[in-house]
Amino acid sequence: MPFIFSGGLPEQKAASYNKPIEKLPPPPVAVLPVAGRPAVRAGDYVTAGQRIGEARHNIPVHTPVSGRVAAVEQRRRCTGEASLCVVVENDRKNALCPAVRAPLNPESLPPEETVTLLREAGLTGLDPLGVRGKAQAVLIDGCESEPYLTCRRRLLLERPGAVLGGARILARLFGVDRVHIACGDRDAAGLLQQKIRQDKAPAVADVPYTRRAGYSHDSCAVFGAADAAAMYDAVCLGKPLTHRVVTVSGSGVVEPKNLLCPVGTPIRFLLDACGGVQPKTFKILTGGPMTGHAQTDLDVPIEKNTPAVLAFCKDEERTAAHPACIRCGRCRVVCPEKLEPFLLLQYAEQPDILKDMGILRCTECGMCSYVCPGRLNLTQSFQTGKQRVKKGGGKT
Amino acid sequence: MNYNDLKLTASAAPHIRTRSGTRQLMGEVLTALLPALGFAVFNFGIRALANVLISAGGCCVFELLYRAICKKDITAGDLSAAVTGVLIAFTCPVTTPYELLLLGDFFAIVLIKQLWGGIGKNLLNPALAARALLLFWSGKMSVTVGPRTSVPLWGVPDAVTSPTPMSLLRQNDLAGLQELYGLPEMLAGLTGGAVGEVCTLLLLLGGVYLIVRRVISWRIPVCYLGTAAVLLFLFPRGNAPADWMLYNLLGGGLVLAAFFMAADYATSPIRPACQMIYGAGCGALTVLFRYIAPGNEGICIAVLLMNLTARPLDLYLRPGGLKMLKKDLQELPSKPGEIKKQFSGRLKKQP
Repeated sequence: MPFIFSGGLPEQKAASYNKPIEKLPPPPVAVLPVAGRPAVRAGDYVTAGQRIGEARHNIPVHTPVSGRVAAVEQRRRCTGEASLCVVVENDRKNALCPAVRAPLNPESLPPEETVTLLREAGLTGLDPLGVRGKAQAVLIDGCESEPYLTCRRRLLLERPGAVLGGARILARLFGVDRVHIACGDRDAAGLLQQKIRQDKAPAVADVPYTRRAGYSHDSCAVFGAADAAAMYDAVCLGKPLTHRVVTVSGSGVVEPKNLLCPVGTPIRFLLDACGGVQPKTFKILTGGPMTGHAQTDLDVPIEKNTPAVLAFCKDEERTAAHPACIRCGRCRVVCPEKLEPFLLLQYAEQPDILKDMGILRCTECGMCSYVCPGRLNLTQSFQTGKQRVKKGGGKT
Repeated sequence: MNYNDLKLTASAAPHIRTRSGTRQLMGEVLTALLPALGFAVFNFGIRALANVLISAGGCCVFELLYRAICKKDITAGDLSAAVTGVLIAFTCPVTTPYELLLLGDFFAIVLIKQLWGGIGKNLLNPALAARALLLFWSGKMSVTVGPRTSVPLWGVPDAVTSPTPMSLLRQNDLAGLQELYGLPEMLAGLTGGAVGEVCTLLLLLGGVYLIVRRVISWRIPVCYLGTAAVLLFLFPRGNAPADWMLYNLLGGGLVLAAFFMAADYATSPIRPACQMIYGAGCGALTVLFRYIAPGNEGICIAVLLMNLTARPLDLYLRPGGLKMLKKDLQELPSKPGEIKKQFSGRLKKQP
C-alpha cells in the first residue's frame, strides 16, 4: 500500500538549523532509570560504558560517565512517572569500562551475533528487527518528526558515515540489496548521496530527497537515523548507546543549540549550556512540541528517546478561558487516521460509541488540538478515552 | 542559572497551537463583510453604518451581560457576537428602527445562542432567527428606499418606499424589474433592498476571500447557489428562464445567505458529503419558499429549516451511523415522564 506524507506544520527549525552538534560539558551527575534490580549498589565505583541494569523490555542500561554511585532511589522521569534510578556522580575521569569491546568488522559477523550485539549495546527502537526475514524493505527515517527538532538533520550532516555504516549492517541483517534513507532535508540528502558515490563498496542505500516520501512495500521495517548511527557505533566502534543528540530550542532558550549529551543528564544542565532561559518562560518540555512532556522539575534526566528540550515564552501560550467547539471541522481535515475528533469529543463519556468510531486508531499526534480554534484539549481527551475503551467498558 | 523563579506550567501535549483561534476566524468573516458595508454606506448613507455598529455593539453587550449575570466566562471578545450583529443589520432595510435591531440582537444572542449553551452549541443561525422574529413587524420592516438615497440618522423618511427587486419578483413582474434595474445594476448593488444584501459583487468577493483563506469550505455556498440556479432555470415564472434565474440569484440576499449564513460553522454540517447535501437542500428549499411563501422570507425559513438537519446529517450519514440511528430511535422517550427525565439528565451534564 502506498503512503504519501504531505501537509504539515510550520517547522520552526531556524533557531537551531545551522548549529553544529556541540558536546555538552560533562554533567556532575547522571540519573539512569532502571526497571527491576540494578546491577550496582550505592557506593560502587562504575566506569563509563559499564552495564548497571536493565530498562523495560530487558534493554541494558550503561552509564555514560565514570564515578561513584551516589544513590539508587525513586526519582521522577520525564514521562512524569517515578522509577528506580541509579544516580552516578561524575568524577570526570571518564575511565572507560574494560568490558567495552574492541571494534568488530560487521562483514565477518554472523547475523544472529550482530543482533545479540545490538541488544547488548542497549539500543532502543529495535522492534522492527522482529520482522526480519519477512520485511521486503528497510527504511531509515531521516526526517524530523516534529517542529523545532533539528537533531536528525545535524546527525545526518555530521555523521553521514555512521548512518551509512548502520545502513550496511541493516542491509546485511535483512538480506536486502538497498536500504532506503528517507530524507526531508536537501543538504543532508545531497551529502549522503555524495558519500554513497564516493564509497568504493557497492551502494547500500538510496536517498530520495523529497518532502513527500512515498514507499509501497507490504512490509517495511523502519529505523530512525539515530538508531542506524548507534548500530554503527555498537558494531564497528564497540560503543554502547550512552549519548544522544538533543535539540535545545524554543523561544524561551537564550541560545538554541544541538547538543551531544550523555543519556541521564538532568535537563537543567542542557539549559545551562544554552545560556539558560528567558525570565518569561512558562513551559519547559522534554521531547517535541506535539508529543513531548511538560516539566516542572528540571532535575529529570534525558533518556534515550528524548529528541529535544524546548522552552516557550509566555506570549506563545494559546489557551482559552472557555474552550468551546465552534464546529469548524478543522480537526477532521488534519486527522491522519481520518477520525472525526468533533464527534469523538461529543461522545467522550461513552466508550462503546468511541470504540465504534475507531478511537483506538488515534495515534495521539496532537494535530487536532493544534488546529482547534476553540482551544479544546482534544488529544488529551482521546488519551483518556482510549484508556477507557481498553479497560473494556467503565460503562456509565 | 537559577530556575526557581520560573512559573512553569504542566499540561498535556501538544504544547503548541495554531495562531488562528475563534477570534481570528471571526475577524476574517468581519473583514470579508467590510466591502459590502462600505458599499452600503455609499448607497444608503451614514445610517447604514449606524445600523451595523449599533447592532454589532448590541450583540456584544447582550452576550457580555448574559454571561456576567450567569457568572460564566466572558466570551464577547471572540467576535462571534459581533458577526451576528453585523449580519442582523445586513438583512434589515436601512430604515429599520434601532429598537427593532436591538430586539433582534437580544433574541439572537440570549434566546438562540446563549440559552443553548453558547458558541457552537446553537441549533439555529442566530442572525437568521432574529430576522425571522422581525418578520412580525413587517410594516416597519418593509419601508425600503431606492438606491443612492441618504436616510437621516433618526426617524423614517416619509413616502420613500420604493420597490425592491425582491418585491417585484414576488409579483412575477420580471419585465418591470428589468425596466427599473439592468443586470449590471443588480450585480453592482445599485438597487433598493436590505443594507447588506444589495451589492452582490462585493459579497461574492468577500465569500471568495473566506474560501481562499480556508475559513469556510466551498461546498455549502457552491451547492446552495448551484441548486438554486438549476431549479430557477428549470421552473421559471414567465418565459425568460435565464433572466428569471439571474435576477433571482442577484436579488434578495441569496449570495449573502449562501456565503455568510448557510456556511456558518455552528449550524452547518462538518463532513464534506453532508455539506453538499445541506447546501443543495438550502437551495431547493429557498426556491420552494420563494414560490409559495407569502412574504420575502424564503431564504430565512429555508436556511433555518436546513439548520435543523445539520447535526443529524453529521451523526447518521457516516459509516456506522445507521446503527446509531436505530439505537437512538429505540431510545426515544415515548411518555412525558421519560422526556422530563432525559431532559433533566441532559441539563445536569452541561458544564
